[in-house]
Amino acid sequence: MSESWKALGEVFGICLLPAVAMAAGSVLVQYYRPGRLLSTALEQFAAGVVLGALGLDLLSMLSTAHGLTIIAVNAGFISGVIFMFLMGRVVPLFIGDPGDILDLHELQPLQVREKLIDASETLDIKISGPIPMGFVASVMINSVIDGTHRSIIAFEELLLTSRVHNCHRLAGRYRVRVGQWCLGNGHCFGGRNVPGMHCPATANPHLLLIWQPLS
Amino acid sequence: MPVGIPISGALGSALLVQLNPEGSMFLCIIAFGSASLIYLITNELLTAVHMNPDCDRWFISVQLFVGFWVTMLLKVPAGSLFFLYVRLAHTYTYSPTRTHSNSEDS
Repeated sequence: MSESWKALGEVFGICLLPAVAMAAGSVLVQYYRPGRLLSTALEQFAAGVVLGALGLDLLSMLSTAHGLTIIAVNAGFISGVIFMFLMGRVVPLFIGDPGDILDLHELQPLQVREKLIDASETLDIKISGPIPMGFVASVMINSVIDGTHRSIIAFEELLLTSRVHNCHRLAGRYRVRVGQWCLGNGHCFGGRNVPGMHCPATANPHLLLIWQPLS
Repeated sequence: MPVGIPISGALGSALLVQLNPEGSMFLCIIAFGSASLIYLITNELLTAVHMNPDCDRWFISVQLFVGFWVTMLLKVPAGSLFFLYVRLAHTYTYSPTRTHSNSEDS
């Protein structure tokens, strides 16, 4: 085996570590959902690690730039900034939020828009755009389990117990991450990202029914 | 998605190993990656942290420095840490008077 293939295998093995860690984390989160403080601390820790890698590894490589290579460094940096902003702002306008897309692919459309509009009028919530089907299907499955006579009550309980974990601006809108959706009977659902008109924390931290079309 | 990490890492390695580490193309790619990481830190991670109303707690704020420190420790070779330990142990274990008395005994 040549040296290049050996080096390639070594790199593949090193890169396999984060892949395994990501898969293990995805499995782990199915059984243990970290709290808000722990997840915030981990995000802060990750920011520090990435900052360290940036400052200690990448920027030290760039310090060798001289002469005309300085132009290449500037061109690469500026193109990186433009590329990331395009990725962050333009792509979601076309394909929407990845979490919602996955939900839409997995679930079938359900006819509950009228009920949601009625509930929104009761709770003074504005609705625009299509219904996010993942959210609706979660409610419908729970409603089927509990019985149809309890569906409207379940809707209202779901709206009032929805927890907003974080919210940040993306592509001119706010991407709101909602965490566990718990009903009054103890049934809870997983978290997902929802594009919204504004952060619900500024209006009502417990309500999230303001969304826009995904496309 | 996790499968894409080792594949893209191997592809990037196969590409970059062909380039001169002080050449324009290599540095351009590194600068591109630096900009991407800065975007990740500022627009994704820190933004998500500061959306949490509890983010001003000290043990959350200090995690940024802990993360940087961990990376710094990983960058320092293990041998350097060992010699630092030996030097500190020598400083705090042996005092000049004790050294003097030892030399008299011998």
